[in-house]
Amino acid sequence: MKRTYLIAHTVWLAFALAVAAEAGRLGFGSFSRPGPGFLPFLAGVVLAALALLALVQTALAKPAADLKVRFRRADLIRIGTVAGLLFLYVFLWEVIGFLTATFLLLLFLFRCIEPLGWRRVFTAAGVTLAFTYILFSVLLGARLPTGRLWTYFLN
Amino acid sequence: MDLFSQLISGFVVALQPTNLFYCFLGCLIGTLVGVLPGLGPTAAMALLLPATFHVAPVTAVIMLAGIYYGAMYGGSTTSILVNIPGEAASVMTCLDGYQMARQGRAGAALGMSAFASFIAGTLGIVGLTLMAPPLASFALKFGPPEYFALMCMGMVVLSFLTGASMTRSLMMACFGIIAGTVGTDTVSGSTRFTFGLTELMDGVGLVPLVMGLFGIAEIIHNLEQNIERDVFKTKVGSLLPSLSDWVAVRWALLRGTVIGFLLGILPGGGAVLSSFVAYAVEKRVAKDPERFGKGAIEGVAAPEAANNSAAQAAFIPLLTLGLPANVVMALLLGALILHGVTPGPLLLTKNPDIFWGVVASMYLGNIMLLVLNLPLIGLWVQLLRIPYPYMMPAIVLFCMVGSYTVANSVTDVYLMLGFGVLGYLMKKLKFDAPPLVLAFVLGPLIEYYFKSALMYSRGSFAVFVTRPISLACLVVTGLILAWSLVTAVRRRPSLILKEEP
Repeated sequence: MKRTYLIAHTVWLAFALAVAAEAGRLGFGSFSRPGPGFLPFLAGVVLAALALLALVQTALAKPAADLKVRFRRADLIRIGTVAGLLFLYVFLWEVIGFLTATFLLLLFLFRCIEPLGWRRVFTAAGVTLAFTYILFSVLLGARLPTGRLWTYFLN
Repeated sequence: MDLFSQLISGFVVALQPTNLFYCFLGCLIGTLVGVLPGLGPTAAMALLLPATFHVAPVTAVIMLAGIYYGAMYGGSTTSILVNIPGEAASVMTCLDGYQMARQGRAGAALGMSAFASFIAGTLGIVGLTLMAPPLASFALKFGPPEYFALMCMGMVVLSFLTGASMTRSLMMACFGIIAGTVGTDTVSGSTRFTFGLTELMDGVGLVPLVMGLFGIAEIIHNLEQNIERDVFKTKVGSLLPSLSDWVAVRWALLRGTVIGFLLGILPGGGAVLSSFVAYAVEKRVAKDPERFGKGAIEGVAAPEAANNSAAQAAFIPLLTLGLPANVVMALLLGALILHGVTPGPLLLTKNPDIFWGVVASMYLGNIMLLVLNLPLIGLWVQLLRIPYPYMMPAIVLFCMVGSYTVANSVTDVYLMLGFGVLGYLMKKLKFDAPPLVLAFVLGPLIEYYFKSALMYSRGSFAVFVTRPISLACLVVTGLILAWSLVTAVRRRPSLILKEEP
């Protein structure tokens, strides 16, 4: 647990220093004539100071024995898989189109998160997709990606 | 025009069929997200924000506001019947509401919750109606230094009141400010933190940020735990509380309303904190506090009154000062800006239709919610029986498509997913999201008012300390920061990790 917090605060510290450096490059200006980097520089410096304070406090703290392990390996694998799949799903919007990609995603989610029977999986995926399409595309007029693949074949 | 005439003109706006429909829709969706755990009002409002782009600003705000106060009503149903709070402000209702349901008094608990919400909500709107105009007139005297100081104070107070650690809340506020500076600087025209991506020239969108931090993060978090809803199976029974129930709660209801209203106005107060405080106060003043947690009806009435009163009171600083008191109000501020309306003291004079239309719609919305929550209780109970595995993919899909439709941008969806993963990690490590969102919305405004104040004073910092309101706000901000810093440094290191729950 202590290690997790040490890593988290170190990441925030590194991020804050990177922001402050980039903001400095953008131009701090002066206190009376602030430049474009003024606010992000100040925010970066304050964030770095707070992260450093938290890091030191965590480093000095004795690990508490009664703490539960927060990140379980099995959960991390499941969460990582779903998050990775969602990024892949968005990438596929522009390749195979929204409808196909969404149907595949829904099949996966209905089948794998809490396993349902295939008939229920197909029905639930179909109904959810139809409802989403009607709501966003038909009623709200959203232009959902059609996909390069279909455009290529149809042309 | 006097107050009454202005309110009547507001009702003329609110009673237009389109506005009436959107008010009902907002209340219905609000009740739905309140009833169903997994998607809170903030994520629901962000999700539906793009859907409001084709309607008038007043209609959009009427609907979004309806979602917010509707969720306050709906959240109690899940608390009472399932012992899971539908949304954060209903946590305290679980304690006695569920016990009442176990004792065969689910109907009385649900009824009292709805009536307390209605009474407190309506009194909250009366307070808003009476307090907003004089406050807006007073705020007309505010210039850039006052706004800068007020917004700094709002951000720091929110960080102070929310979350377990002030250090981590302030870290999130700083990150929110940094995220808010991404894009083109309106003064110099130079781009900041865009990494050459044209999609980021307009900055990070509010919708992807909020949807990621509150919607996707919640879903990822739920993947860790099996959400099983054990809906109470006994008959709900009569929804009308008995005369003795009314006698028992009369002061609790009034105290809850006042506490909610006062805390709702303050930055960082809001519905969640007020319901906790109202419950604690009732337990403290009770002659027999041991009844609390075992089905005391005051334990249902007070927090429900407080969270609804606070939900209405939170509109006061937003509509009169342009200062959001909590994360939902920050989202509404963003929505108004996206619609080309600047909330603040001039809203009452420049856009009275929006101000009074929204206020009048709240009166109507409260009546609609009473109807939605009492006769339709059976419908909400049935909805609670829908298994989470059926709902989760639909929520994910709605978040993703909703985020895409704001600007037809795939980058926004990637950003939302990124914020979703970040939000999940933040949730696990107890870094609070509300200060981040508030700072994200207020950051550009703080920068604008800071630069305007310096231009006004020709570069002199004295402008911030020679004006009394600005000075007072900065002193409060400084005192909170100093106190937090001293507490953080003096705290014994060995205690720090143990405090993490």
